[in-house]
Amino acid sequence: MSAQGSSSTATPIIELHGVSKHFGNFTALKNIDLTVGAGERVVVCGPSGSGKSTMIRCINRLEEHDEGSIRVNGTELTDDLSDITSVRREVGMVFQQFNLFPHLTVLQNLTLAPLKARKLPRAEALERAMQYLERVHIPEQADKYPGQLSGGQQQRVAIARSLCMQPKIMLFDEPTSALDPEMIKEVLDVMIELAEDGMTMVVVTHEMGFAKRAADSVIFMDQGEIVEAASTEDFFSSPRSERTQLFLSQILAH
Amino acid sequence: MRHIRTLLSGITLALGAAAVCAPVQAAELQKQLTSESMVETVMKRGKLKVGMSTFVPWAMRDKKGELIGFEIDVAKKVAKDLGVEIEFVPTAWSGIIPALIAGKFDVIIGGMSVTMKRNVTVNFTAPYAHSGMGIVANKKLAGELKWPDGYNSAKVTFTCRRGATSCSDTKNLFPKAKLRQFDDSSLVLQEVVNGNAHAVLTSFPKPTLWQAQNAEVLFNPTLEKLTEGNEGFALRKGDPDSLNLLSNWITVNTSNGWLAKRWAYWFTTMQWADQVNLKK
Amino acid sequence: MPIVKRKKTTKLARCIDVVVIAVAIAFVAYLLHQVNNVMVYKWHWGFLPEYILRWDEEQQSYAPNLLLKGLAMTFRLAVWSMIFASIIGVIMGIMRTSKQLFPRMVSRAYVELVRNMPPVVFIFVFYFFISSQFVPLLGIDEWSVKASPETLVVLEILLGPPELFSNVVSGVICLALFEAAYITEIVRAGIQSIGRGQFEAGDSVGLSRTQVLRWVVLPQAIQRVVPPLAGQFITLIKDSSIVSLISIQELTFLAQEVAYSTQYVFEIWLFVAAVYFCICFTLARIFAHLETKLAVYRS
Repeated sequence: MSAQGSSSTATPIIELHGVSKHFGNFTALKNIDLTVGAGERVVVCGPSGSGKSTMIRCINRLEEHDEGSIRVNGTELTDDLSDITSVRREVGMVFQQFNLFPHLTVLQNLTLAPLKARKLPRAEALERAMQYLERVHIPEQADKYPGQLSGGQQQRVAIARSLCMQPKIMLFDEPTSALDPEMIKEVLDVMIELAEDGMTMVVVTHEMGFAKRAADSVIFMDQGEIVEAASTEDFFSSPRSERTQLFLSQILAH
Repeated sequence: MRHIRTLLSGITLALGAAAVCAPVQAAELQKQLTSESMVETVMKRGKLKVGMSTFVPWAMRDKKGELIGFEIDVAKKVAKDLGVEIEFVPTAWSGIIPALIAGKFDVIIGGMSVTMKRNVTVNFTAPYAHSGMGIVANKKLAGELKWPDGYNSAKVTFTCRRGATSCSDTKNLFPKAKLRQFDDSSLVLQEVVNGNAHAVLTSFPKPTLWQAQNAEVLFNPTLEKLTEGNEGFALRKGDPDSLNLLSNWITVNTSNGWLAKRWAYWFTTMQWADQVNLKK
Repeated sequence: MPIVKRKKTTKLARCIDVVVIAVAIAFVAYLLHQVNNVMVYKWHWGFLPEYILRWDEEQQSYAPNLLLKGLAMTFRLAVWSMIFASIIGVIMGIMRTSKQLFPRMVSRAYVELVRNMPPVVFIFVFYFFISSQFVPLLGIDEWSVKASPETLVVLEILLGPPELFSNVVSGVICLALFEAAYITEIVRAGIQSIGRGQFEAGDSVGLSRTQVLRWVVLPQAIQRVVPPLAGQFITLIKDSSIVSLISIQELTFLAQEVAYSTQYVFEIWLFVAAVYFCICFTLARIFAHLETKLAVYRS
């Protein structure tokens, strides 16, 4: 099933055509077609094992797709290393497990990539880092180590770290699933602010509240396929597929 | 698959090349060492490099950390007579012949006994010293034994340093006795002192020296030389000129009595004992 | 209730400690007694200091003697070998975890070849090859002859007496190559213990593979393997005594010469054992200190 954003006039920035991925005998992705326009916010949901993480990890080549083609920001994703690196500089990723660098301070975590990958002068990198730290509302934690921060703070630092490379796209792989309930809100708030600022976002999450608030469209995946894709309004008010309805009833039960 | 095949063929080629080159390299080295006689190289270099090993009283370290001993005197005179400087290369005994063949020094002047086995790999000059083996024994264990037949019995234990000629000498003279071999020369004596072995064969002057150092426990069943040894300089093979020169040096210094005088000083007197802090 | 329990176990633990220490001391005392009575050995220690530091009449000052010179050489061997073994070990360790087949095969072959040989055998085999084929290529001897007096002084501190330069260099190369195989495996284990998430985070933020290794993975990996690395360095210092067999004039070799010359065998060897113990123990304490300092960074 093909999926398109609500603002169909926006230039496509992510294009997946006929993408399939196999792990041995198991097919994780079956013939995925997806187009995300610039500035669009897409939420991807579905039961575990549905392939949602695999799909977004294919977008920044953390996984290699076996069939089909993926175009990100105009570059085709192939085995070519320089292509991959240039794509990764424009795509930020936030992980479920934060994956901050524990041996570096928060500030060093943020400035590492701009200094080494973009070769920014030190002063500029520091300025940029503090700017984004303020954007996620924790400038005072700059000299602390990740181990000294709470989960919610760590995830916000992770978001700031990706933002420091000033990517065009931000991918979120279940960003709040590893957080204690009281810290989910602070991270979602930051993500909502990002969305309001016009960042292109693809978010894998179970947080339907966030989807309703910030997403332009929602995609439901099951068993490696895109079952349903619609604008947020349509998705929640009148889901077409039975599987979608079942999923929604389970997740929105309370 | 394609990668693996190219890889394997690459490795095989490299190994093949190395296998061909290695013997060529070794041959080159040999040729280099023997094309010029050792003496010529030494004269050009202006320095004689001598390999030796510490062994009382052939070569020892004195209080100042300098090398002294019979070997040292001999080597220094050879260098003086050739008109060159001398450099000593102290080498572990077990690796001294390979070191000579590999070219680490020019000649071994180290009290090396001339044996047929060694002569297969290196050349020896005429003998410049004849040390003999003597015997020292434990008073308590061997005091009652009749010399020499009493020592040739399965109830008697000798010790020796592995690889030294004393091992083969003991086996020849006392075939029925038990022989325990040690890598450390100090253990060889200590076992007899402790009463774990009856006796030990060792080259002079050690029999008298060891007896003097442990007078309460040890005695000499006899002070005769049990074997007559020959020590020569060891050289690399294929160098007749150097062999000739050094053998003649030995002949000259034997006739004029210099070698005998030096031997007597180091092997029969103990006047040098204070210089090395020798155990009393 | 729980507080009372804790006090009890601490008291018991302390009792056990006391008993163990008492048994250890009793054992050592027994050994010494046996040595003195059964071995009929007369201890003399007076001659030792002179072989460490001797009074030079002409210079009217103290000059280092054989044992101190040997110690200096052991230090040189230890330091140089540690540096080279670390460099080779880290490079090979990275190759061991490479995605490509060739680096993995080469480093695996190297590790298997070296680890399955006792150090003595390795050194005998490689020393003659390295010192007669490889080191002459470096041309150290010709080069040291042409060096200026000032350079020679510096070189003498770094490498020891000029005549022995190529000898020392061969020894360092042999020792470093041997120990590096073990360091390779330690580094590999360290790298593999770093979760995939770190690699992925580094990749996704736009760092190249080399940059990820250099700034993200290796610092963490090395931090984690400080204990086994420390152990390997201590082993290196002890293994350095094996190069005495190839006539490198380090502590064991020169101590042997003094032992043969004076016949005071046990005193010399006990002294040498004490020296190695001090060196290794100091190194172990330095690494323990380093470990606590680095632990600050870990979450």
